[in-house]
Amino acid sequence: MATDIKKILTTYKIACNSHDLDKTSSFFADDCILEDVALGIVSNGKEAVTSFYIAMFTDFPDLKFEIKSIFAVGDLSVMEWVMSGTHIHSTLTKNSIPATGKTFAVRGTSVYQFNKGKLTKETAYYNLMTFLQQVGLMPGQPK
Amino acid sequence: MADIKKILDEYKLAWNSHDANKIVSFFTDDGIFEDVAAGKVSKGKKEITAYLNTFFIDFSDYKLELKSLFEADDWAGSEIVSTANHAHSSIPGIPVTGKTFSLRGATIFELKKGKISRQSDYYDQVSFLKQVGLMPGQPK
Repeated sequence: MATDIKKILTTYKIACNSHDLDKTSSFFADDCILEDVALGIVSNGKEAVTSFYIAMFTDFPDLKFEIKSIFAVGDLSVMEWVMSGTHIHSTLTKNSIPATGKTFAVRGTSVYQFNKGKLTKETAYYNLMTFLQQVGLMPGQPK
Repeated sequence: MADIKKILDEYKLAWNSHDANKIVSFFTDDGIFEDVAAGKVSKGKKEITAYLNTFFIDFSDYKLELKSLFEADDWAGSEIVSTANHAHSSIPGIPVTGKTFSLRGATIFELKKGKISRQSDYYDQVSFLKQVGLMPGQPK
């Protein structure tokens, strides 16, 4: 079981990295919830989560996730990742974080919950300040 | 296999009693404690102790809650909430506001023979700065 979840998550991230929306959304359960803790955005339901990814793929046309570590237990999994890309548009935050055209790479961790092989919940933790510093919207040396 | 849940429960108690020596005793000799958001890596018991001593001065009423705990073999992950009053500042450029914050984060543990060989803490500094009043905007 645990091995399956790891395999599913790896395939899911490959779909995300190819910006294949149909393939990406095929992993979501109908009642899937995705929470971006740093942005305080909770997407509730398969349609909302898909919309979240539409915005992400639009805002960061070269968005990419790299898996740094992953472990699974039953229907749960925890992954450390690096998310990188270039901030070209600002549809997700409706210009509250304006696009600067700069690139970023931020480390984060997500907790995933599955049911019958479909993703029911992802909670993503990362440091928004690192992002803001890297794209030049906040002073200071990015970590 | 070591009982990771039990170990981490005791580990949490050590944090909540602000006992740096006790906390460090959970690590391997070459253990790594990584504050990912702050970009601070402490290697080995001496460096981790130094980090903790500063930490408990800055956040003298620090409280750690484990909201969830996942474990598999020699890995564990936990969603956490850190609550404290920002009573002192050892970080240059971050003034003390005396305000209280409550911050969600995630922690990854790698273990070797029941000891922590790596801990990595993920959280959002923007939320911290907003809550203590050092950045405008509604905290998330």
